[in-house]
Amino acid sequence: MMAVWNALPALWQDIVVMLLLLAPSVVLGGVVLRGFAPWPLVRAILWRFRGASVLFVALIAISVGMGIGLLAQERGLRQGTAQAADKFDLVIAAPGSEITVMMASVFLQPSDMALLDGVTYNEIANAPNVAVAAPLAFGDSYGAAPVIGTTAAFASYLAEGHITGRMWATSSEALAGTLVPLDIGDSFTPAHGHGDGADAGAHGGAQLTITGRLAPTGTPWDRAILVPVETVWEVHGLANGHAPERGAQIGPPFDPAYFPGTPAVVVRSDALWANYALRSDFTRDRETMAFFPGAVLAQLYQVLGNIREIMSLLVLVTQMLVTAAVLLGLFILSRLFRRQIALLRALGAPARFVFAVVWSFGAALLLAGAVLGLGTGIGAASVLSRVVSARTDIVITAPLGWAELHFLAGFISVTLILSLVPAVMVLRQPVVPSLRS
Amino acid sequence: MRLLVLLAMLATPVCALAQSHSSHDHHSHVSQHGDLRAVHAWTRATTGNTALVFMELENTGTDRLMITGAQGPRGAPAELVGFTLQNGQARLQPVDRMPLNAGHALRLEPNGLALQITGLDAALVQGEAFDLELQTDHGTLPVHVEIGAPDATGHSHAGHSH
Repeated sequence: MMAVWNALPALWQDIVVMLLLLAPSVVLGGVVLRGFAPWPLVRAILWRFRGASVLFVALIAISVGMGIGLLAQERGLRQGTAQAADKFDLVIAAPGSEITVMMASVFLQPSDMALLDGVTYNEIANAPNVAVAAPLAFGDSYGAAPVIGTTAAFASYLAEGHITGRMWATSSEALAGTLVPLDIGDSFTPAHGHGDGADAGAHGGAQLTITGRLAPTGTPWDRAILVPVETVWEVHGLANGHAPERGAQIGPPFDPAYFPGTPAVVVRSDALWANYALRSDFTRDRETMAFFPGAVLAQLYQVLGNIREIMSLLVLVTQMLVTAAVLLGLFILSRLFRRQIALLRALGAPARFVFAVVWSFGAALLLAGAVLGLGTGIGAASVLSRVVSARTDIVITAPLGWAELHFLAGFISVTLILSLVPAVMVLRQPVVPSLRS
Repeated sequence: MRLLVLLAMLATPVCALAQSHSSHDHHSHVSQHGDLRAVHAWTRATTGNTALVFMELENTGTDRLMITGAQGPRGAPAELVGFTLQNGQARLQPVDRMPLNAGHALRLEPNGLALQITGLDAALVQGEAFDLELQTDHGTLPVHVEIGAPDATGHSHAGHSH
């Protein structure tokens, strides 16, 4: 049995789980409604108590929608941050915290880090199968845009070759990320530092011109200005990575004697095995640290997985509480039409028919709330995605996934079973006192 | 005095047992063939037909070694796979061969490089173990693989040096 299940494609497994979760509802509906057509009566009750019905449906829809929206958003955030790390196969830095280096290199949140020297950089760049070995240089900014020093090969790789305008040719030229408020041909002077503490006059002599714009990447790099790494070194009064007689050169190879140092090198290899080989080669005690940002993120997601489970449980409990409140409301509502129900029974309607009417009334409210909740969830996830994207510059999309659909299917089945309770309680009410009420 | 003698007599078999246990642990946690050493091989308990095996490999020799694959329990095929994130989704990609330079170590670990066994015909039960054959261009290394919890993140003795 397990072998058959494992052999099924993931999509089929999801569909089967969905059907299994919905099965109790279908079976219950079939048993309760067998031989009866209570819908005209249910429609009449819904219309008669339309105000209360709309309120109950709205309550369920909001509860379900918020739950689905939160779950979808959590998954979207995970995928968005993982996508931001897609271009960063391997990062090599001085030994320290992998998370610190990942935050600096992938998410452009730099902090003080030790530097790798020119000998180490050249060893990385000249290792077999290395296609791109880009030194990064942080520390400057222009307005809200961080100014990042790197190589033309990495800038081109980041934008997948899609650059409007042209690549930089000298150390006084720069490329703007897609969200940077500078046009091609605009000039700017980078400030030393970031945010309120940035010193706008520290690099007063440097006048850089935008020569191209990078295609959107959906990452914080969209808000960055990329410059030749030589530019960052030069504006800080350091050697620019090349011997004086080659001072105008831009890009690798660098001369180790004139290499001021880099906090991180982003490496891309021709093959996956080469990444692992490089990681093995450059994991050295007290010398270098090599790691995959994707793996670090995956570890974080595993820790966050527990939080997701707790969050899912909280959402489920919240929805159950709302459902309990709604079912209690239904029971109170049924007191309003107990005279009509008693009349039905006095006229000889079978108890099972009356039971079917009351259960169908509750089921109609729950199903309508669940379906509307699905729409509310999609809307909530979309709004949350926009808010988070605007704050982080990470493109986040949170379409509904199977997890949310399974959640909804489980919710429908559990609540339809629970709505048997008010139906049973209505039947237990004596007919004669109800007729007199 | 009698008490001391009694305590010494009692302590002797305990020490011997501890030593024997430690020696047993060492042998079951370390495998060596030529210059290739495998330490702390482990996997997760599963009822599925695939499993990922992790371990620490070390090339103690002077020549580069090439890891080419493996064979799981009862002849189940196994291959090297590498963890990647593609469009934000975790994927395992086959890695045909993996060089291990002289004097270097290689960690097969979750969210990294691993050996993926496919076609398992029986559940892997927590607390049990099986043997796996690691294939290299310098021969085959038998490795004793410990089965941990379904959500284990490391070998039960991770951090102990052997």
